[in-house]
Amino acid sequence: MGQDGFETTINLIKLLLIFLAMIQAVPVLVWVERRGSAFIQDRFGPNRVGPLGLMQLLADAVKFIFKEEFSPNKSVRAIYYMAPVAALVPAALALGALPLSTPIHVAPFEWLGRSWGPYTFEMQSFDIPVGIVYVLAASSLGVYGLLLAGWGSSNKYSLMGALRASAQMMSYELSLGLSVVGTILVFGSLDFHTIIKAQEGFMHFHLFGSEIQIFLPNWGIFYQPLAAIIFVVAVFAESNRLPFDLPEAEGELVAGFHTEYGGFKLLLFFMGEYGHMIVASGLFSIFYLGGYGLPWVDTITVTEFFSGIFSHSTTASIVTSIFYLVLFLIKIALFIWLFMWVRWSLPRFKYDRLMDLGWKTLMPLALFNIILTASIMFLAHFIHWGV
Amino acid sequence: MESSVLLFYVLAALILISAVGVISAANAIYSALCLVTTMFGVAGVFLNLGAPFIGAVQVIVYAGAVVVLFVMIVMLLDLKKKERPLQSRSVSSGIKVAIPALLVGIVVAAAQMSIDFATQEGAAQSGGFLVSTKELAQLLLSKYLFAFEAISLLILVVIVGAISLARSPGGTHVGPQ
Repeated sequence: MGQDGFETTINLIKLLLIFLAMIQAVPVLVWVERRGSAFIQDRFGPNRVGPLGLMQLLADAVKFIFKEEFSPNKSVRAIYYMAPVAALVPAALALGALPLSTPIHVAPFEWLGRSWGPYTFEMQSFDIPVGIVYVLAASSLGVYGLLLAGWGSSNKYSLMGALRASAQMMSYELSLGLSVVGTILVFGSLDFHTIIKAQEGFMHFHLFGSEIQIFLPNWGIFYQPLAAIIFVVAVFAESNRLPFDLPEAEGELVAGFHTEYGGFKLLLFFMGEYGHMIVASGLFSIFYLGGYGLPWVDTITVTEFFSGIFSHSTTASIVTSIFYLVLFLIKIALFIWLFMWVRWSLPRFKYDRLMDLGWKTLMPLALFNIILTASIMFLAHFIHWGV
Repeated sequence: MESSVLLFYVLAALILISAVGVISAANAIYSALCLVTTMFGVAGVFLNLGAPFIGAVQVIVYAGAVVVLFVMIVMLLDLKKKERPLQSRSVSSGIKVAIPALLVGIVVAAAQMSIDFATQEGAAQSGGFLVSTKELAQLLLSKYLFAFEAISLLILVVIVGAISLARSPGGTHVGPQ
């Protein structure tokens, strides 16, 4: 946790802050979703409460909290109340392991009559050496919230929604995992920091013994375009958004797995869904858009630039970290906007088409991508070795 | 007491309690949920032993996929009648108790034998080190390649068996018609 009181305290505060940031992002995202849908459909959207309708968020939150707390008569109480929490926790756990920015290096300083040694604070709740596997594992648990909600409510529509959700999420999880394998092969690591570091600067690689440089950022999307497309589609299905929102298809299933939920319990499901969207956007940025990195420019240049402006090394480190955090948040925001754009532009899939797409199109393509990547890398490496 | 030892006892208690829950829960869905908790406990033990990759894979494969399938199948069943364990006649109850007791005996014996091995060979290596994914992959594809391939053959046999059972008319149960 930390070598002394100061480090432990900061690390604990960090844990709480990242969780709260996810929770706080939800009302803002709901507002963006509603205003964005209105913009796409040429309507006004919520614009009565406060400037630009921003106070609508607060009004909604108050409404959710003060709603009557009830559970259906025939529901299985323990599972009914467990489900919303089981939907929220995996998203929070997965988000905690995403590196949001460069670590902050704190130089030794004097405070309260003693010296405090140099610290390094990672900009994430906890650093785990096999981050990718961990995040995929944590977010694969999200399906339990939906399953438990469907079963615990003792409602036909809820159960149908839950069954659809579990089948859909499991089918697309395969393609999701397989699409990431290609990226792992290219960058040769399961660690987020190594992958982000590998994507700095200009696009350059060794091919047949000669080094090739192209005027593009060294991003995963240019090495793995097919995997990026598969990843996006699978992620849309994983987070149950249109065009894959069959678990809650309101035309057929009332509201799917959360038919019997209201008030704050429903809000917890929303938090889980938006949390998964944030995690998915973060993963896409890390794998295919260079994570928090600035395109073309590597971290050392930026660090030196800020060290030139700020004389104190701690201040420079903090400013660098905030700069990269903002960059990462911009990338995440752009991807979340894509989520919303697609949601309000495309109609819902039929269930058999959904399964066909998952099993008969995406999975073979993902496997093909792995074989292609592995053979190209092997050939390039082999011939390079021979020269 | 060292924190990892304390953590081991907490995890072991979690695994044992939820494993007993799996076989004693009257409702199949609680049984499946207890199985999830057991899997988490096992993943926690792997993390505690310094093998985060195996721990995470344990969660992906078992908690994230296999048990989700179990839960899904249980939801499709029509669970109106709750069956309590050990409620039928005394002879069959006796057999039901005797078989797990025998299994526990075998497991304990096997554990004792493997502890013997561990003290001789493993203890020198396992001084709280982190197993890197690379080392694991190299071992799996060189030293333990035969076992690895044998397991995949076993899985193939199981898949073929399941498909042939599903295709045969009436499946495992010959209906009343």
